Amino acid sequence: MKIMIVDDSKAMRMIIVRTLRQAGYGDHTLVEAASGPEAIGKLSKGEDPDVILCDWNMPEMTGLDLLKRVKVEWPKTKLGFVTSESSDKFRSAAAQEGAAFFLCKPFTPEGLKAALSPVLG
Amino acid sequence: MQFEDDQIDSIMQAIWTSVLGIELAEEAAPVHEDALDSIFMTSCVHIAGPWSGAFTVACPQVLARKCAALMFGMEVDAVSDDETNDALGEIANIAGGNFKALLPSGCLLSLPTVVQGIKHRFVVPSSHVASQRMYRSEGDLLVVKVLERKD
Repeated sequence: MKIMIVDDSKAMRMIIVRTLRQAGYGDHTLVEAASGPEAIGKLSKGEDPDVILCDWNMPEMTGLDLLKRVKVEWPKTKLGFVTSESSDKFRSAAAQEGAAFFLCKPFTPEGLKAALSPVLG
Repeated sequence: MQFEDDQIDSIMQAIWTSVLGIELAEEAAPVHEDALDSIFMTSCVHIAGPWSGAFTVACPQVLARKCAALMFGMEVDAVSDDETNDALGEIANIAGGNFKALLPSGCLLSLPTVVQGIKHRFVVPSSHVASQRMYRSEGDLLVVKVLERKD
């Protein structure tokens, strides 16, 4: 299984990696991208993550825009949000576009596992 | 006011517990920022929409470096300035995002910015301090402000 982490904050990517290990996903292949365009670049070059954990607010491209692109070009790849946006409006927009989950920062290993389990099994 | 001080306390406590894993205590005797002569860093996210203003998180550089070290999983001495800025920016981003959920629907959150200096004053034009909370972590002061614009 492969997980891609897309967040413009390197600190947050580190935290997500550490939390994934704590949540029992330490044996998964982890790929990082600092922006939507970087994620698209890696996907275009053949990276095939089973799931993408994506921030919402990022420079250049929002997580929602990345989700719309992934849905069209890599339909087998699921994308869920890990974001500080926690209002219903954002949850609804994510759900409408087919996000796999919506996890608010700050999160716990248990919360991350609960979000990922239905996706990765 | 759409929010209470204890809601801000809860947001900051959740970040300190879940992200950093260290204690955050309410400052018993709030100090005036003008009395602080160490290098201070202020991280800010702006909020625009039905409610307009900013959420700021300020602390001495030494505490920001400790936070960065915890977030990156490295020794404090090994943390770079960029990593410190990134860490404090992300803290403001998480706190500001959670704070925005207390506000009327339709508000937008900016990306974080970080400034640093000695005795600097962070100003959002046409705003007033709607809330100010002071905490102590690892012996250092942490100041959180909600600046509300009244245009």
